Amino acid sequence: MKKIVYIYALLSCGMMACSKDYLERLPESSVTPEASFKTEKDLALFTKSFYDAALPSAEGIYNESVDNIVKTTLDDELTGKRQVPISGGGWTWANLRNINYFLANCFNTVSETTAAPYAAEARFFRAYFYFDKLKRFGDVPWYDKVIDQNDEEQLKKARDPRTLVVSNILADLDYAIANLSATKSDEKVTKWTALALKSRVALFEGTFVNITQNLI
Amino acid sequence: MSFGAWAKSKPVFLTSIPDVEISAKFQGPIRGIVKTATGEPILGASIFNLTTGKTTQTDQHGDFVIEGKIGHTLSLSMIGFETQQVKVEATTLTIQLVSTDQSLDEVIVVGYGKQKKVNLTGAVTQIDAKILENRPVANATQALQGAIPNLNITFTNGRPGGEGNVNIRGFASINSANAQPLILIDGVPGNINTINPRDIESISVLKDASAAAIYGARGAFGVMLVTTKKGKAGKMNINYSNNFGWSGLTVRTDFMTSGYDAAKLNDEAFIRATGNSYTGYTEDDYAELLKRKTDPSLPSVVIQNRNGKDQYVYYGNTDWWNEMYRKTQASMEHSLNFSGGSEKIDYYVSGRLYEKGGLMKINQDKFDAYNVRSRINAQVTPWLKVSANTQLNYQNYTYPGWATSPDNNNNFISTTVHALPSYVPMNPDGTATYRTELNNYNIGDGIYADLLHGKSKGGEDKYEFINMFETVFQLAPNLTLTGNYTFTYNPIHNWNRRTVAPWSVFPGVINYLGNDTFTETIINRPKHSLNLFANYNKQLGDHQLAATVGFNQETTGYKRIGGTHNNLLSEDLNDFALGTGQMQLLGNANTWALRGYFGRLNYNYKGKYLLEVNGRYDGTSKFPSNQRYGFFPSFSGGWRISEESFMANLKPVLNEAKFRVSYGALGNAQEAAEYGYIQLLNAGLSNYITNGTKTQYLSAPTPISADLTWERTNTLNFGTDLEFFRNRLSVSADYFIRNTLDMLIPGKTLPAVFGSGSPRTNAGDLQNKGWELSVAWRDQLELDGKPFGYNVGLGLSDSKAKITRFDNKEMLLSNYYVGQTLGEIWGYRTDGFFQSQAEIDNWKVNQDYVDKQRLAAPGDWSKLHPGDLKFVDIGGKDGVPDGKVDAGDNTLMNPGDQVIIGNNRPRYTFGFNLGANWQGFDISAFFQGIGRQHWWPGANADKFWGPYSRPYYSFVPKDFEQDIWTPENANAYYPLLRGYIALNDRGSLNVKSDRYLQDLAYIRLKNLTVGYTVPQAWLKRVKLANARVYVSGENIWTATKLRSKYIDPEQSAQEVNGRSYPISKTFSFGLDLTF
Repeated sequence: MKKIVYIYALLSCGMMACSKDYLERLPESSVTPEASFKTEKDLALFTKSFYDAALPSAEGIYNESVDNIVKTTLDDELTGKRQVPISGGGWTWANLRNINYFLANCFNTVSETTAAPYAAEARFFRAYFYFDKLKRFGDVPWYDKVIDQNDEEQLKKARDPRTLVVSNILADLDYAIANLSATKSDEKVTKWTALALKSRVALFEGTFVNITQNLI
Repeated sequence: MSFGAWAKSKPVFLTSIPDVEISAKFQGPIRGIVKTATGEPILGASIFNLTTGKTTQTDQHGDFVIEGKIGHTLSLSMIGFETQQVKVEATTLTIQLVSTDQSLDEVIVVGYGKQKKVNLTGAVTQIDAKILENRPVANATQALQGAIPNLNITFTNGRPGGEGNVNIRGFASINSANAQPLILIDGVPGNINTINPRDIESISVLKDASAAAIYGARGAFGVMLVTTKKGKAGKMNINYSNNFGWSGLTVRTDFMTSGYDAAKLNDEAFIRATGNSYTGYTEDDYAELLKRKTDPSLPSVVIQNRNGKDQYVYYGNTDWWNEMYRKTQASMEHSLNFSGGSEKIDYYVSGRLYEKGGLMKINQDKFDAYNVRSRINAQVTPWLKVSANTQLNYQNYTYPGWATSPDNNNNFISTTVHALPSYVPMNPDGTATYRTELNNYNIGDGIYADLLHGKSKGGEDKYEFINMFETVFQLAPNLTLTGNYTFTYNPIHNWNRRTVAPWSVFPGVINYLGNDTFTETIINRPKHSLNLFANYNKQLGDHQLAATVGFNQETTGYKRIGGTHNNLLSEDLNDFALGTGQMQLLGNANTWALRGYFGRLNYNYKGKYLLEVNGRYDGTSKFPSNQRYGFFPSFSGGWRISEESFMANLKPVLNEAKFRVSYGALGNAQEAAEYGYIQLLNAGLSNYITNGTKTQYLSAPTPISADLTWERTNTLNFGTDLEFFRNRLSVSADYFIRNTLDMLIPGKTLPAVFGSGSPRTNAGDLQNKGWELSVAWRDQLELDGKPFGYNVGLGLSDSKAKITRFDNKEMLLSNYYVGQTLGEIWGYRTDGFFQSQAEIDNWKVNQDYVDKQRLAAPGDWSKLHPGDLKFVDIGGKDGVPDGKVDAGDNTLMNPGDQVIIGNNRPRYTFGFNLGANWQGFDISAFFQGIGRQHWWPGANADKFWGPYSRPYYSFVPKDFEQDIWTPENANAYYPLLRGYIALNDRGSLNVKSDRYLQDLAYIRLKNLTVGYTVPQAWLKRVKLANARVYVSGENIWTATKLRSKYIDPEQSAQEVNGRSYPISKTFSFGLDLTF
């Protein structure tokens, strides 16, 4: 009798340990997208990431590749030995993915008017990203949505003509100018920053059009 | 009075009772025959007459003849049998020896049970604690290298308490090349580096799938079962042992210490690469240095006016290595255990203290370990047994300097640069040195200045508290039910403090270097583990059946809390409460769980035909709910050919022969992230300031694949176990093929516009083949009348792995590709040096691609000179030499002039042991090594490249200059001296070439122990049951193919630059007492 009692006790301990959700474990120190994008603060946290991605770091500005320093090893560009690299060389698209992801999610819960300044910040950075690509490569494919890994058509898309890219850049900047704050700040982009970038883009593209038309 | 009594009262020569008289006078030979329990004669049994001291041996008929009398005692001993003492009662004796035949009854610990060794069908090797005894080691992994074939243990770090990484059978998976097996201590996952090595009774290594299948998902790369000692019924045993050791290093540490020579060498290399001097010494300075090379009485530091200011100028001949590091490190160990028991209860209580000092001279780094364990088993009722096993393991390591963790010791990296012998550690006024003001570099990066100030330090202490409670029910004579629950709690506390340190170069002016930061982290890992299983066995005539069924569940948590605070109020006290500056907090937490059901069925027919089937159904929280579970089966069979009737005649020679085959499919979830299938926003700390502080940011999640699931391994194993000459010679061999499938790797390469790396999917396969062989011989002879036992053993193993599925269509060499042998090294072929200018002028091949550093040199030095390395032009796009040396497209189809020059995986690892004992003395030696492993010295391997890498390394081997090419020394090892060609990308010594590829093959005398067991006669007086003294050496001799004696072959395989804490060579002595 005693034996059976003990065995039941042991097995019931075992049963207690068996809960159906035992193997269902959720993250304890990271946020899922479903749990975020709910308040203005969430949007502000996300837009902060654009700065780190787009702006150069201290090493990017104060380094040895400037005009009054001669490095011990000459760059391949100077020695005439540069070969087109297999990857890199300006062809990186991670920042765009980040921006498009934000734009796809920022209007989920927050109202249109509250989210507008943050969307404007995102669009400013998208314009900045594509301006850099424009300068380097000219025609580039335009994406305004996050690409799904199985979407072969989007992944293999051909280059879009630069006129399309420029008009999209200017449209993004117009939205940014209309929605960013007008208070001057040295920590965030403002309406004035967007205006400045718009003038640069316009000058660049204008010069390009000017010269190419004159060549014809 | 009887006649006998009267006789006894008379003088001896008159006494005579008829039979006594005959035997008293009988001094003839005693004859006898020695047989086994089954009637077979035993050849070579040793007979020792305890009374007269005479010995003899039996012949092939088992007969012996020995001098003696009736009433004498004979002791008979033989390997594989129990020693028997027989009192001589007749002149002819027949003695039967009882077989202890270890291999017939030897029991091996397997998953959730035990099995007789003869019935095993899986590849399992068991060793007992002997290998861990009497060795001056901090933890068990330091003693296990080479002990079992294909149990590979590697160390990156030789620091006191350094922990080894365990691996079974070589390359495991792309995500972790040297994946660890599942290590279970008394059935519960544990850490083999923290338990007391003296508590280990035996270690079983389950190498193939069939033995490990019962552990399901975690047994994919083998399982290691560690069993701890427990008490035995009988009298109480108290055992005390200690060990005192002194350690040096396994490598040479005599570097260049002549200030003049080192400065000249480095400046020359620096000028040839950049056009400038490194040291900034003028001609006058060099003249002063030259004077001090021969005259030690001149001062090393003088005050001169330079650049308009008075400053110290350094003309030293400093031996920096011995300024910073000690020659000897001392260690000590004390261990005490009590064991014993009655029929109902047995107990084992043990404790151990181990301390070792480290290499740092100022504020020596120290390692302490304390272990306490108690294990109690009680037979509460005839059918219920309860046991409790509690242990507390504590380890603490403290170190000076500004490293951020014990294994990331900046001391070994930063001091290797800028501390030339001509600089001194201290100024005449006692302040530390840092800048020279003749150039813009810092001496040793300021490490020595910081050490002299002595307030920067760090430490890590770990507690591990493990408590297991187990009950075993005997439900029926052959059915037991076991349930156990274990709780492990191990907080790890890591802290480090850096303070500012003073230094001076202008007399009287003190400056400060560094910053004041304190970082502290506490990580907690609570673990719960529950096992419930039943064992059943049944004998039905010639058929024997055994079954095991069970359930297992585990939860592992992780929580990290920590932070950094700057500018503390005190230099000596370290706590966040004292911080005044910027503050930052860190955290992290996760939990994962595992649940499984398992079963095993064993069947054998007449002990000849063996069959085993295992299965486990496992679920883990790491995968999405529809891919969560997996079923992992295995099958194995064996044939004991020695038990067949047609083999009976060979029994005296081949007494045990078994062939076995096994196949199993196991899963592996170890590489999966805890929440790998859930999209999580990435968080980071911004570098840009908002409102005066750095803030957090969130960014887009990394794309994940929707169908993540288990990695799988399929292992096919063939093996054989043979015993000859009544277990004197045993041979065991295995051949295996292990396929790792569905490895979690980045999937198909996506175009860059995707904006992220491809999500990990189960998309790669590899195949690993290998073998193990172990041979052991033990025997006993007679030497000078006393038994002399000896044993010899050899273990050999090998493995080689190839990729069989991976999406790399272009076959880029920078990634894995199908058909690649893992570990292959691609490099260029070289053809010696250019010996003359004429040769260079006639040279048509353009080797600029691999000579980028030379091209950047100033003026004439950018051209080829005699003494430069010559590369061979093998072929261009079509295999035809094309006049250039380059990397082509860096693909398998067009590798340019690159060829496979070697492989960096270890091959043919071996272990070799010898032992002998005689008259209380025993000696054992244990060698371990690797047959072949290629190593390319890293760009920062200072002791190999010297000034060819950085022309300002502090530790340059003493006779380095003899290996440098000069027109007189045209057959030197190194080419024309040029700085930076080994450090910078595409320099001639930076690209891999066959000339400088090293082979790390080595053989090392891992342990040599000589001991003496005090004879029983002496012990009786001091009431000791056993006493032994011994002298033991660890890592005392090494021979290697590696060209440099300043780099350890064992360490360089793990650390490409050789800049890690050196491994110790230890001499120790100790004693072992049992009361």
